[in-house]
Amino acid sequence: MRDIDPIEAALARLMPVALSDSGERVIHETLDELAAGLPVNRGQTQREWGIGLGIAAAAIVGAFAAWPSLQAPAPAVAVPEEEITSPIEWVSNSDRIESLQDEGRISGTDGDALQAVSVRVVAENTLRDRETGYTLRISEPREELVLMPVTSF
Amino acid sequence: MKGSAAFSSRMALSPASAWKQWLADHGPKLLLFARGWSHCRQDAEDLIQEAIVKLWHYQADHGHAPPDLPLAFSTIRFCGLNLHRSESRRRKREESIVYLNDFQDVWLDPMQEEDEEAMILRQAVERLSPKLREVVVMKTWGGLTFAEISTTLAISPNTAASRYRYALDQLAHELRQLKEVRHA
Repeated sequence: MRDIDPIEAALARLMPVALSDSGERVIHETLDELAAGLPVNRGQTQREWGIGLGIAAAAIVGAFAAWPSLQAPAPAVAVPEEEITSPIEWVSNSDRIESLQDEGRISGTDGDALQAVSVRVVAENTLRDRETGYTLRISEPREELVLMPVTSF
Repeated sequence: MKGSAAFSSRMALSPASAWKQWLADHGPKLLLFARGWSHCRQDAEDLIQEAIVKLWHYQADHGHAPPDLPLAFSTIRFCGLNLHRSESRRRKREESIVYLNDFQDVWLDPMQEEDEEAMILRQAVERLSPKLREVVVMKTWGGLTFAEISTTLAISPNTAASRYRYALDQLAHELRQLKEVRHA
């Protein structure tokens, strides 16, 4: 191990000047502006879904009714091929339900009883490079909380 | 371990807060590096701001986590090069303007080290050629390895190491010379 050069030691004792208060403030404001343009963190909003779940619920309710058949992965739904000029061809997409879990009953904002079901869905997109013929499958697992009105007790 | 703990704690913060913490940790060394590419402290801070905007977008694929230092140095350098290109065009238009020297505008903090040697060394660092100075800044205050410096500057690790060694020799020589002159 080489000895520390006296100049290196002397340099290490010097400290760089800090950013000025105004400079730091401007950069902080820039960071806040950049962060404001971000999509909202899913982790923070998981409990605030309510409204947006309506559409997903419609799709999931049908699947929930067919519970036993969901134990095996559902087949991928082929999407009709459209005329695309892109070198990448979209082959298929599908939403596969991997698991369902009953989260119990909760009370809605207007006092209605709702059945909460936690659903793990895997979105799969298959793409193909027209030139090379390579196929790429992109899987995006996501958790959804589905709220269904309880009509009978 | 220390670095990964700091990284984990930063990731627990919101992106903006993590970046502000990152700036608090590394702001002075980034500013020192940016000074090599700008006329005054304010310009250097503008350069950092510009680099941070670029870095923010670069880091989109990494969940907007704060970048590592080599990337930050390299982005500041890129912004600095761009600034110089536009500056040289502007200078041609403003050749008649005389800029007053700002005597409070120092690169390294004079409050930290009051002795004569430190003062001479501070001035000697400012006088180093840009190529040597950027290696010294990244190595001494940025804590980068020669491999990281070589990636940042697109030079070989041997070139980075020899520039560093040459800069130290030059600083030592200048320090000796100035001391002799002052004490003569």
